[in-house]
Amino acid sequence: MADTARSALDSFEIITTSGILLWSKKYASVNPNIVNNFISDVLIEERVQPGSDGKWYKKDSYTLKWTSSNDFGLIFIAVYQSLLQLTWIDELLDTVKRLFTTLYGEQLKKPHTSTIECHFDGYFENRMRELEKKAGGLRPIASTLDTSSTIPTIVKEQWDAPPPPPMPGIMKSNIETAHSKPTTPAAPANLSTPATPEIARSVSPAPASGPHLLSANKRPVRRSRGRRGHASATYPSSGEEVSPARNEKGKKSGKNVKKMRRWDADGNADEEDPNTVLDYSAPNANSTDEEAERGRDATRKMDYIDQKEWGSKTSKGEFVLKDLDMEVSAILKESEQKDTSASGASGALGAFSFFRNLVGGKVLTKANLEKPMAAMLDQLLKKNVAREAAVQVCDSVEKSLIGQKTGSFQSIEVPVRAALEAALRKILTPTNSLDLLREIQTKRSGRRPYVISIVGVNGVGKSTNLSKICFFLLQNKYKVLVAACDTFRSGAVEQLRVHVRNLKELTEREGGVVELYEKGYGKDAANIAKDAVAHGEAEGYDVVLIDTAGRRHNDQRLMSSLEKFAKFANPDKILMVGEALVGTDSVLQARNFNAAFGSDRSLDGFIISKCDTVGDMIGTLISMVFATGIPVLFLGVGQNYQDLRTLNISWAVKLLMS
Amino acid sequence: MSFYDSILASIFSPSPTLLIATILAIFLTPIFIHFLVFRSRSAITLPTFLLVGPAASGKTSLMTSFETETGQPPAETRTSQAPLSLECSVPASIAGTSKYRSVNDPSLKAHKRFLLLDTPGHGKLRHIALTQISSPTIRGVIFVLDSSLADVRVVAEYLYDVLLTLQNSATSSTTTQPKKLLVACNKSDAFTALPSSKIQKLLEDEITKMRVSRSKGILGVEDDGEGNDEKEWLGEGGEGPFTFQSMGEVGVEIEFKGGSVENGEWRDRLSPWIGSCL
Repeated sequence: MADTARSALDSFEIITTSGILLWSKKYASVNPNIVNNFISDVLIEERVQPGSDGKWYKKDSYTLKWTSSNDFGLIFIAVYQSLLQLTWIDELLDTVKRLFTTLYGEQLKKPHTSTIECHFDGYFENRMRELEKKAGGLRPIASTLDTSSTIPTIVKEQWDAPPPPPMPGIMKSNIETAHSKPTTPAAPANLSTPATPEIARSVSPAPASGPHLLSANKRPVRRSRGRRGHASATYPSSGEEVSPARNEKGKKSGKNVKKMRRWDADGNADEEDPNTVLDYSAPNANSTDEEAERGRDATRKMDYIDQKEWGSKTSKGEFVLKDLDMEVSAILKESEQKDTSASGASGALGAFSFFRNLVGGKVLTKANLEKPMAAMLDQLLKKNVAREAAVQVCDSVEKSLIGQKTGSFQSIEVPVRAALEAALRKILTPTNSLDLLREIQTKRSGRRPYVISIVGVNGVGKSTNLSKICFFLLQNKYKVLVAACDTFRSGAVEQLRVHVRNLKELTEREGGVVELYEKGYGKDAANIAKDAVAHGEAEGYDVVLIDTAGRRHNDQRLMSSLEKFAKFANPDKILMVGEALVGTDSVLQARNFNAAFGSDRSLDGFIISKCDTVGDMIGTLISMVFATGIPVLFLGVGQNYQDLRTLNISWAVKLLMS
Repeated sequence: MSFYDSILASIFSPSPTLLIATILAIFLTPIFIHFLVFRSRSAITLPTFLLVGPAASGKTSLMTSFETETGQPPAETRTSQAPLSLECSVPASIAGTSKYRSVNDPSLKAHKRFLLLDTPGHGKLRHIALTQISSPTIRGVIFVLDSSLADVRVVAEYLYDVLLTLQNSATSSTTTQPKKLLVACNKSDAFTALPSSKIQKLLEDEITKMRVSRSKGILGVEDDGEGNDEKEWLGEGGEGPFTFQSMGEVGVEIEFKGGSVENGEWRDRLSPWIGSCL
């Protein structure tokens, strides 16, 4: 809890694409569901939150930023409170990614294992400190601020922890211990297995130096909290918890004293000065409190780990930090060099890279992906995918490919094709099942009929597809009421009447019952729909199908009535009919109709009509589904009542890729 | 000296055949070596067990619990996006073929190795699992579900797809070896958990309804509506309620087991079943 106040980050996680948490650092407890939601929303379903531009993800009060390493299949996720404006998160993600992949790349390549031996805590702390320092900028201010703020701290301390007589001299050592604290977790390599929350926390009384700076930078923002922040920084316990759990503290405080010298050598000279002045206030009492606090948090398991891990720390702890600093910067420099040299060398070693291309096993970069991606974009455009959707699909495919290695004797086109195919498949696959019959069965509780309403642009085939669905339901012996809510276009009601008459004749023998509910022209469609549902309920109908007037999707006046319609009729399913013929406009059509029903209602599915007229140019499917994330329920494939089909994803992908 | 001269001369002015031979050697040796290495690596295929199930049912946790030592809590996991295989082992003494061996056979002391293949459970990524099922290296499928069974439909739908794929691959394969499926009712320690017998009943009811509605549903866009009725109908022909027992007749053996990852008990509970499949 002291940690929560101290770090701007709430947690940092390194996970594999196969879902294993390799390493994490938790400063505050974050519900794992937040990360899970992020993965399924952004990484699997590729839904971009409005305004985020795919750079961040907000959930509850948290903001997530992430970066991924495709060649190792890793995702790095930083979670922090949305209130904070942290500018250094991107850099942290990037450097951590580079560090982690260089350090453990070998292990990550091993097949058939899920765990890796990683002692990453130290490296991470190091980077955090560095970046927070950098972001902090004005160091002198930070240090002066510290000194000034220590005074109230100490007063507070007096109240809570009785023993130490706070002489100015003693204060110094006190603070030094507090500072040396971070060395303890930083120095010793931590657990090999993915750290569980308790472990992570137990080791994390972490960037004591971070918070200094942080509170200094953020001074105006976190003013109210500032004191507390400083207090805990200079004096981690800050006294509030006097719960005396002083079991294994003796051991540890000894350790702390040992380590404080290391900290001096570390080069944080600025901080040292104030500290030295204030250093003498009873180090023992201080660490006691700290221990107490930790003990309170800790679970039984943590204790177990403490004993094991901390033992080795003391013996080694001394030199690790210094080494670490140098090691980290060396690794980063090296990987940077590798990056630049890789980009430079690609042109230079012409003959060599030719053979490498031939034999394969080459890393995909933005440069060498350019040509095949352009070909893929062309392919999609040729299949009548809207340009906007095609570009976005290609972008996400490219992003997922960069950094991967091609197989031996394989040209770049092969993985690109495979990735695009997988992306198309992923887009078209619905998240939930689309079994309409089963849903009608389960949703129909009580007397209220199952209400399906159909919307769309003019002339796309709303009434026709409605009658096709009606025919399908009649064959399954449902009692169907068709509501004519197109009160605008002349002849619309008559058209439906003809359909209903035909359907009646067709299915009479099989026991289907269908009636038309009409109220003429010029009336408010929402009211008619509401009455139709009420009528259906009274007469014991199973399903009510509501036909609506066609409307232009960019006409605000016409679209606004849909919200009222959705509220009044309260349909169980709102289906939008879209033509397979439509090109670029499909994205906007889908988006506008999806947004028209108010904030808490959206479309439930698409019916793509006239599929028989486009051959293999079925790009509209992709455009519409990609724009909204809403699945395709049916395809219209002909003029007859039975010419309704469900989408076969392999078929669609095959056509698109052919 | 003239001897060396002649050698040098022949090196610097090679005959065309020598040139061609050299060039061929230079180009073909690495290729040859590559294929050699490639083949030797792919030769070892371990028997594989597939972990399938809806999202958040505990597949990845279950798999990692095979790797961590008993008594330790399972590793933390997040939503999976990609499959992952893990090499595990069970004592050879419980493998199915071991009953024919002598008690003193030293090979009983060894461990049988196998792969556990975890697949993502998210609706959009299930095709990964479904395409893997019919692969010949798959010895058994473990369907993991959350014992609280918050939404029977979601679970039943996935199970239905898995069963149908298993059935089709069982009927189309030439061997009489039955396909094996184990339904692992995970998270049995939760307060809302149902006993596995109850779960079995609920799933059977749901699949019965689903089987009817699927058979009446609209055709897929490429189907011509003829000839593949048998491929779409789960279990033996005929209406009536669906039972997991009846799947035995179409070559799919199903077993139910309850347990919890938290208690680290899956390793012990699954080992006999895995052994019997090896």
